[in-house]
Amino acid sequence: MDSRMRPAALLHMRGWSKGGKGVALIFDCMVACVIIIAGLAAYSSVATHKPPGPDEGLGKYATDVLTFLDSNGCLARLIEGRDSLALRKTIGELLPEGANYCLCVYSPYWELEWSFSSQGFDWRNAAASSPYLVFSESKPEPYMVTLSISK
Amino acid sequence: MDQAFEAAIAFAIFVAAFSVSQYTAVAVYESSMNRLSEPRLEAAACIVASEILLQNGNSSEKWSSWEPVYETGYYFSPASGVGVAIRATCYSLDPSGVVTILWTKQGPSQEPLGRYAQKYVDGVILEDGTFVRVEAYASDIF
Repeated sequence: MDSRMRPAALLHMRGWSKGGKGVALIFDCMVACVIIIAGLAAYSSVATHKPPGPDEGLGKYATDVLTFLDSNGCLARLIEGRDSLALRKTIGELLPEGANYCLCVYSPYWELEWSFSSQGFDWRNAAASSPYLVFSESKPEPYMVTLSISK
Repeated sequence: MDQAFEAAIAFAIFVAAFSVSQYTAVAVYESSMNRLSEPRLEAAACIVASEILLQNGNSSEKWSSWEPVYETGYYFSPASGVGVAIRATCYSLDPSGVVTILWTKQGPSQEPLGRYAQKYVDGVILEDGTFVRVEAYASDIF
């Protein structure tokens, strides 16, 4: 027996169809369509999959933002005051529309002292600034600050 | 009668599934083409933003007289058929950390060029302590 006719033959035996040709057509069409759609889905996931990569330009821009914030000692004051609300507002103003960020403050020994990030920040497609040294008057050791921006 | 009815159902199912598969194929093709053109457009946006920064440097005077003009061939834009939009924003920062926008210049298109436009962002600190952010958008013009 032809394997293509098996579903129709089975249905015929169960009494679902007298002729069985129409049912076989339905099954053939359904199977063909499922195969086409599965193939297209597999192709689309393989051919167009591109892991989101960091944008090098954004990393440089993050360093520029830190440099600007540090230009009049403002960054050190905001970090020492642990004023995340003011920092959020300041950084949010300077970043382009739709960008999310994460600010990390480390000790000189790379111990994380505190950090905060905006909603929607994604490490997988984030670009980070170079570690930026921030000196303050009240503390002999500098802070190391990184600003990461994700699109 | 039964067979005619079954054939009609089969045809209807086939047409529906065929439409879905065609729609999926077109969407996949469009997505692939967009992914292919992303790096090219991003490079165009990067070139335009970098050229603007090179032309004006950190001179406040140059930036205040600068206008975001764009014509084909004005910058080292890689190809014709690429539309560019430029937006530059100048910020000042007071010691308490409050950021103020001094000016915004945008052109030649007032809107970024659609959802497939690629963006490049760069910044420069000027000699008077203000900061300029330059955003360049590039998109294919059909």
